[in-house]
Amino acid sequence: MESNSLNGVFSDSHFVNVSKLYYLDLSDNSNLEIYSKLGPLFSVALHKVVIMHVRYISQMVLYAK
Amino acid sequence: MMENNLSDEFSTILNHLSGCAKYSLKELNLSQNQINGTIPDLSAFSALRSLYISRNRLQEKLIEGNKLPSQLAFLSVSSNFLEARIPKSFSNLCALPSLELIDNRLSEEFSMVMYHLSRCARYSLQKLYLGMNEINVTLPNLSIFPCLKVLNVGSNRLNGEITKIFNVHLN
Repeated sequence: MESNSLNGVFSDSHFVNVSKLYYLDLSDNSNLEIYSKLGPLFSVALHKVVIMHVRYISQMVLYAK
Repeated sequence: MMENNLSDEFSTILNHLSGCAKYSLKELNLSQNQINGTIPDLSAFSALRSLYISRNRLQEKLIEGNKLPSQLAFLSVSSNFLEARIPKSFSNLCALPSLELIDNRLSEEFSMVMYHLSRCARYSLQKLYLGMNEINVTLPNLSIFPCLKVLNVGSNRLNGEITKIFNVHLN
């Protein structure tokens, strides 16, 4: 969903109940705020998530595995 | 016939193929040419499973009655000049796992794109590529496409609150 006009705040907590998502790209959404840190919130089934180049980013690239 | 300098209308090229090939042709690759015109009625090509017509100059003006073969399993019309809404001829694709429409000029609401595809492809569609268009508003309810695994909607005009989108559509 990169390069759109999504807004709001996105954080690790969004992944708590997600087990099948493989890849998510939210880069270049200028009104989106991202707060994240690697931790146990990521499911084992979540192989890879990449979130890049968003405003206020605190973790440029996240790899769960 | 990929990557030649074909510059006829799509319908003219098909007229050359419409003998016995109409019933036996399984794959047609016309990518990277300069084919123009609209997407003609292909419903008579009863064996056609894969159609690649990316990187051409196709436009889509709705022509009533034009249909694609309902058994089509792969369709790529990326990098053409499809405008406004998703072509009406796509609504009878009932066995389609993969649809590529990247880099066109589609400009309708995302919900309408999915509505048109839901008429027939809702139980077959696994990969949908809609990047680099002008699709707008926000993500519709995608749960009616139970097999959908890959969705590319980058570089469009989608908006909406990320938490709402994530909780409703991606969980």
